[in-house]
Amino acid sequence: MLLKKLKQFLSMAMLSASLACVVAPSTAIAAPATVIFVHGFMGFCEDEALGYKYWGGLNDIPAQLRAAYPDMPSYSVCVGPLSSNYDRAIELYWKIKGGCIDYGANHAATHGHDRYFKNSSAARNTANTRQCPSATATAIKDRAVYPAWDEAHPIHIVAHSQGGQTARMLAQLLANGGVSPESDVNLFNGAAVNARWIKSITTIATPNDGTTLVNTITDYVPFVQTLAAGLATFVGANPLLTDFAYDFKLDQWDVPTKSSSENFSDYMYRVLNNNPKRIFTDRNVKDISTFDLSPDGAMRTNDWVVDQPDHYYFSISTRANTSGWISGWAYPRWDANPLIGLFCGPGFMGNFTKSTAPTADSSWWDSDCVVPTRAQKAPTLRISRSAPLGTAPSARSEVIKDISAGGTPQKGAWNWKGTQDNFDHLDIVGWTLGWSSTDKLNWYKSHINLLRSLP
Amino acid sequence: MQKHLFSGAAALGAAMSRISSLFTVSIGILALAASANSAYAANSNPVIFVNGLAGFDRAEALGFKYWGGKNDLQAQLRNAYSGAQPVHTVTVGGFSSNWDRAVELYYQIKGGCVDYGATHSSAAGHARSGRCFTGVYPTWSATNPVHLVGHGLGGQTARMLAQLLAANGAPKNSGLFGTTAVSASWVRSVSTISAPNDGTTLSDVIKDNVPYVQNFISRLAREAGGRNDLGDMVYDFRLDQWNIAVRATGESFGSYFDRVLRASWWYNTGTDRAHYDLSPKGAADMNAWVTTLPGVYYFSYSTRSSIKNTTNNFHYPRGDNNNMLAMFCGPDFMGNTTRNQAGFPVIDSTWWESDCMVPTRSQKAPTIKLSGTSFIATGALINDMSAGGTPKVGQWNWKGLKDGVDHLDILGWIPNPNFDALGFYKAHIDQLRSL
Repeated sequence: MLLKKLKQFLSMAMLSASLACVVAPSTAIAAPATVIFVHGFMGFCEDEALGYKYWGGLNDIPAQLRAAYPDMPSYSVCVGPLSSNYDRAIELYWKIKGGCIDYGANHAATHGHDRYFKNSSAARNTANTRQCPSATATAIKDRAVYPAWDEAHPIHIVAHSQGGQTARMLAQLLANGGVSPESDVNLFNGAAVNARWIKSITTIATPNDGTTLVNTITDYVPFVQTLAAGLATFVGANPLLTDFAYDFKLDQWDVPTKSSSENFSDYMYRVLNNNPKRIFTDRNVKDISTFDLSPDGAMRTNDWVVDQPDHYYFSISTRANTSGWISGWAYPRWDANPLIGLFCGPGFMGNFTKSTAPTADSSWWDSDCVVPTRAQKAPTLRISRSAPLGTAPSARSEVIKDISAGGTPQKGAWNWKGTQDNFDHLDIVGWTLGWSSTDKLNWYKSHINLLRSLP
Repeated sequence: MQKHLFSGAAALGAAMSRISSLFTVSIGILALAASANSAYAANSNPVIFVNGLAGFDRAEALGFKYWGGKNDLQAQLRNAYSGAQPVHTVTVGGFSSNWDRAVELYYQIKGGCVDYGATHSSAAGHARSGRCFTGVYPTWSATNPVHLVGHGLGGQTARMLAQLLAANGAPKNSGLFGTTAVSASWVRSVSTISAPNDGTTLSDVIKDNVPYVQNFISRLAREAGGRNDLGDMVYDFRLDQWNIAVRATGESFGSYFDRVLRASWWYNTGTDRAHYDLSPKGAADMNAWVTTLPGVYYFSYSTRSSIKNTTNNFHYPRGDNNNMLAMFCGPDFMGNTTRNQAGFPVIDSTWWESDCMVPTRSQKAPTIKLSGTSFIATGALINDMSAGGTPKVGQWNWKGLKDGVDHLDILGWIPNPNFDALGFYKAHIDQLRSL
């Protein structure tokens, strides 16, 4: 046993030494890089939601990590909570790098939204600054997370839920050299982008193969409303939500921001029910989160967003349902967060099947109450982007390496860290008292340590 | 009558003797309001409040009150009448059938041990006897009647109890209350607040109740300010008759909760459960024999918190709805559901408007009943009192629509600037006292 461990140590040391020779002769094996945290569907900036933090809840995980690892600072970035992965990826780029959000003329024309995030800045973590054109370039860079970002100064992205899809899409746009699927060129204003701007992507509870929750909902409006209002009360807004701060960030769809005299509940109703392009009810609108999150949408993303050989991919799966019930279906654990608990059960994902392509069977019933557990490990299925509706998916060529019991991460592969059982979709970002402040920080620290160990 | 006038005057006199001039002014206003409305209360029969689906008693839910939320309406109403008007909130099974609930309601008022009836229990397949109660009004009788005020499912329960008293359980279970000389006169009035008198489509839309029940109670715990892990939650499912044991000493709430939710009872196909009674078919089934009794005053209040979308005509929740149930106002639940199937009442777009639990059209009065295999009009008479007027006995006195008030707002769960819960219930008790 001891001998075996010694052997492991020696081989790791030798491997490290050899890598160090190749990469950076004068420094240690770990190459600290900035870590960017990207939120999922319905996420929010640090100055929203009454101080409740998307990453950590009552704790500010990125700030705690920043303090713990000053040479490898962690920052959270906020993007459109309901926007498509493409729009979110563009926003993510500019919020990290600094600059005005430009979705590309062809993309905007194809999908019928504005080319620019209306007069908005790429302010890092604030929801309310929207004055980019009149601001100086310096001011914009001051608000950016990491203006020095480039190939020589790459980043790690740690993303939750839809954020994982967003991160993967940004990586693909960088690898494409700034070319959009709609043939926009030079998306990033002349920057010499490539895949090596990103070192690793971690997807936590991400619907890499989509979520059947979307299939079970035919009209998103009341659900988004319930989630937004539920979020408000969860984070401690007053019952009428008059003190709640939350920005839907849908400027590209001509949705005006909340006016100072407007109640949050009126603003929410207006955004959801009276947005000019009917983005939550018109199923022809595809450039929207709800489509990208569906198995069909996710699998179409998986067709052109490929795994980059330069990247390390990590995934963490979550599960919050119980089984063994009389009905044979999946049910939420009794302590699942009631914001989402319902979705684990029958009527939503817990007994959903679909016989038309892309099909879903009982292997999709286990979930974290937002995303089926099986969809979280890696993107495994793809559908040609141009294929008609109802086209069956085919297998993707991803490599999955199970490191749930340890092991060395493999480049270009999906390094799966296992399933966190009894963690619902919101528990894993720390929205629970059931996970102590110390334990959740340590869990994230251990992941940062893993990222630090990458050559 | 003399007695009540006297005690009212004495109370007023005592209040007037207080020193605070501010207090004197407010009493003066109250007295004026009373003189305009019911200066001389014709009765002070006890007002009994009956909970709806998933209800709970005063010792449960960490002090959050079914009637009033963070305000204690029972205490406030008692106080408003200086003790001269008995007001009782009682609690019956949150998921049990109206029959079982009506019987429990009887014993909660009168006192004694619950006997669901030999015929009923045997047909339903559950235990015949239930819990014992001291009774909030043991002298209850034909000469000492009560006013029943039910919310949601509680409205149906109150109506059923009146019917059961009228014929001592006949024809379903003759002699239900033994040799006690029960009659319709035991109930002076029945008030249904946001009640599914014609059922709610939500009951049909939701196929498996378990995750919804779980979600509701879990949210209730948070609404009540409880711990996020439910470690301190107190809630009683009151399904003893179905052999679902009460929470044992030392059993954590989580274990109890999980145990109850896993009970096979939730998947019974029988009709002796709230889920059936709440459905449009179940309500019509009940309306076939639970009649509008000629000697009883019926009152109803309707609520609405949905908004029609002019593009697709579906209904959506208002932005300020309680998010515990807002979703149910919308499409995928009640906001766009239709049904045209033999053996079930026809559901069309008139059922889309709701308070996020019960379609508004169902709340005014029982209008549909099952007759053989078809659904026909009950013929219940409706007296529109929405703009005032005199109540008529043996009729449905409809007190109007509360718009922008959802199914839980009407209980005072969330402070709604457009709705004063205490004022609402006080005004209604004034109405009952004037009968």
